[in-house]
Amino acid sequence: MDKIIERLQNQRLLWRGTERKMAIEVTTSGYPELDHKLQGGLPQSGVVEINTPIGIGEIRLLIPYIKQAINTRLLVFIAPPGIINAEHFFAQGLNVNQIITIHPNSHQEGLWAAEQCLKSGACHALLHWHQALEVHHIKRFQIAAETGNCLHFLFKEKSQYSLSLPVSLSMKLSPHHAGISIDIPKRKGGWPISNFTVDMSTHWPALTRAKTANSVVAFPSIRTR
Amino acid sequence: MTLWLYLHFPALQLDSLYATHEQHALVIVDGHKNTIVQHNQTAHKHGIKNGMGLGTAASLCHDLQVHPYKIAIEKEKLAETAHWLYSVTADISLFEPNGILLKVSNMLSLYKNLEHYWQTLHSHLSLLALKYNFATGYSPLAARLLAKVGVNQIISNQENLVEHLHQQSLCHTELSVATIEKLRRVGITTISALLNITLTDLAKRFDLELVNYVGRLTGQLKHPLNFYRPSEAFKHRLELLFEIDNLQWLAKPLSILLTKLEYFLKKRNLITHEITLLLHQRDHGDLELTIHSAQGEYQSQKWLTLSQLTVESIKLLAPVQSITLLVKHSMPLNPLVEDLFSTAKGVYSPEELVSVLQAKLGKQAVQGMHLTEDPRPERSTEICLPLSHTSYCQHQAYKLRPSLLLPRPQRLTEQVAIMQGPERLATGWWDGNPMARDYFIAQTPNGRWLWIYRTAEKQWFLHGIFS
Repeated sequence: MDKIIERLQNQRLLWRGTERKMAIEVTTSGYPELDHKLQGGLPQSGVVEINTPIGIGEIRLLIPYIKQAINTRLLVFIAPPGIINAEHFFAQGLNVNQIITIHPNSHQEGLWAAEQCLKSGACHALLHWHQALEVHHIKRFQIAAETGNCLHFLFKEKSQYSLSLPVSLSMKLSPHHAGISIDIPKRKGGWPISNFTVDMSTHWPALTRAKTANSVVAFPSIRTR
Repeated sequence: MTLWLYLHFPALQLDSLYATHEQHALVIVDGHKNTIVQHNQTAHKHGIKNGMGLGTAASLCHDLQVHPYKIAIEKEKLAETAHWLYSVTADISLFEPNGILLKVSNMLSLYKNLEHYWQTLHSHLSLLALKYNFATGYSPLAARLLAKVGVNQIISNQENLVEHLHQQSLCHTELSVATIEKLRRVGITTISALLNITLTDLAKRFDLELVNYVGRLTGQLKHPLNFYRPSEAFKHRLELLFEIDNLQWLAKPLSILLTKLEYFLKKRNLITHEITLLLHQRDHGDLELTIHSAQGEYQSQKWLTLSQLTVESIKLLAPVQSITLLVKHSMPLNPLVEDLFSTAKGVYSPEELVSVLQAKLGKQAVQGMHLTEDPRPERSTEICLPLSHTSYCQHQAYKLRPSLLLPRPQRLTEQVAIMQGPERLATGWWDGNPMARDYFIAQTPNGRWLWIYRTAEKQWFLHGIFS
């Protein structure tokens, strides 16, 4: 009997309840609900996978986190789905001179650039839009992110087929009238967390709706003089 | 009297070839006379001598490598050598194509004595791995004559020098063959015999060329010299022994050039932001590569990494025969002030990271941004080189703006609910691109937040996304 357990243990197929995970260093995300659910906040380095439609507030969710160190280190965007608007980031109190946007010519180049940025130590956070990543890419990114003490946010649009990637944290975002609804199917050192809502009305009052559904302003009819 | 030192390089072109090993017999052949002018050690073992015909040499050694003699290469190499020597000695005069004259007397106030001066010079010169003969003399021509003969002695004793000079035959001088022949007919074959005749007597019988030469040789007449002044720019050319068509193999010869660059910049306490690499291709034009470093760099290792990234993305039309490294602009080194206690773990500074990215992806793929004061949304963000702006304008009012803009506004095609607005922007009259738009914040049924506008013609466009 012991032999079987030993063998399973050697093959790392056995998980022991008594095993203590090393505490992961976390930083506050700026949203109390998210901090509470994640027991402290977002990890300080590693890869965070975010499955989200574009435009529901996925970048806004990260702004308070990014703000914490942008004035000393760089913020890098790789292959964003639009032009990064300096006015927005300036209004959030970020130093726009520290923002770098990379438009790679191919996916391969994007992956290379991401790894360079992560391990350089010069970047605080990397926001990367990429649809098809594989396990070995993520493993490389994890190591690079730890070397450079950088957090790598990977944005993907929701896909039917979702492969479990070895990321530090995986989040599924969906729109909610008060902000964003988050589902956490996977995270390092913790259990999955099912749907909860992050209230964005303090940070973004204009971009949330009050709960009453009939507050939607009707499309103004064109007045004729 | 002034003491001069002359360095004669008998095999300058041979030494400037990029030869990693001496396995092959190498000769440099003068195409006009079809004679060998320079040969390496291996060729010497096969019995090849200078002045031999190419046919004779080829019959002595079957796998002989032959290069044509090019005076331009020697001149270039000579200038490089002078430049190299400039860091230890001041007054340098070039005797093209293969000689360098140094004024020793002035330098003795800097060095302890002649011995010390020569030791410094010798150890500095030995790094270039050139073959050379040397001699001192109390006139430039005397030093030159003794060096060409191969006296290889550094002495300041005038009597000894004169004695050496007097022994030399006239055929080693720079006199024309006709003049030497004329002198031989009157029984003058050595320098001593020539110097026994006074200048006035010589002037009666011979032409001005001989009088000038003798006058300069003895130091009675002044010898005008142009002294070398180093250029501010760095330029080195390396001839490759083999043609290279695989760019991976370029690293080794390139690192030789970059090491020289590092030495050049380090001595001057300079850094450079841009190096230019010219790859001279066979039967094709030169391929020019410009490599940037945003931070400014002098270390060869860092430049090598950047060059390799750039070289990876190019395609050669023909094999490379030689490489030139150029640096046009350089600036004083201001060391980066780093916080001793900060916890940065990485290997690059932001500037270095940008250089690495630019080298691989191209300059236009890596963009920084800065904020302008233009109220038009398209123009408020200006793309610039990363980290090129340090100013931080503070006086802008808070505006709710989307984080992503579309490259150009698109017709609004989906159904949306307007949440906020309008915000009227009617501006831009000053430069011929006026706009009059009413901006709204809208939400789609599936929860996306959009920034849309209505033109004066009541057309609706999508301009940004509140990601």
